Amino acid sequence: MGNASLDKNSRPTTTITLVGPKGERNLTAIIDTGFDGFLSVPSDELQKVGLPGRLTVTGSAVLADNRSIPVRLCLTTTRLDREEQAGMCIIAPPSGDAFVGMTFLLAFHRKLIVDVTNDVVELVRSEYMTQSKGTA
Amino acid sequence: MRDRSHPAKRGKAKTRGAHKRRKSVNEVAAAGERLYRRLAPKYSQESGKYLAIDVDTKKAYLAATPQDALKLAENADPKGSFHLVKIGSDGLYRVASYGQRLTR
Repeated sequence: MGNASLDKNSRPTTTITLVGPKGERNLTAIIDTGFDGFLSVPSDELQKVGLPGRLTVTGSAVLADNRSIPVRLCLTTTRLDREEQAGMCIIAPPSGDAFVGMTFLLAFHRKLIVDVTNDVVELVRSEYMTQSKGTA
Repeated sequence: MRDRSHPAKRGKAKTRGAHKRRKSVNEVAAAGERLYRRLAPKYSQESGKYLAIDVDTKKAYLAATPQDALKLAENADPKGSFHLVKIGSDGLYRVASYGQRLTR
């Protein structure tokens, strides 16, 4: 809950720790519900922790106008609070923003509650709902 | 056999062959998409799962997550170039932007 806030443009953000072979780095990442991936981080931030390494891994990203563009990817380990999860990261151009997507929320079992009116964002642990059986 | 090539060119072919040129992102992605179009019918029942396609060996590795597919592929070919696809989807990811943050 304390690990999320709205930035000056009213976008929900959270602080994550990127864990790489050359160290760790805290990043503020925008929580992007229109992105179905795990993570997107600018290449200059990835380089500071020794990523992406030597492998060439690619994928394609489908944009809002349905264009498909090739993207380079790397496997990353990310920490949120004290929990670590591994996932694929889009290597974005340098000097941009970092983003976490819906797969990130799923991997860390978090639900996002945004109340822009009251400047409140909550990124809280989500438990699986047990389906209540309706009575006839 | 005696090397009859120009002195300046002698031994260059061997050097070129010894160092495999690193493919660009566009080359790996284009080759991966071509291979996937060929492989897609074989994996039509695996919609929602992920393939890591080794564009050098042309082998594909299936898993429930992209990171697991990549690990399988990397274990088989630690120096490979891999393209990830989500089976049955237009792309690996959807991004609700016009690409400014992914291309520059």
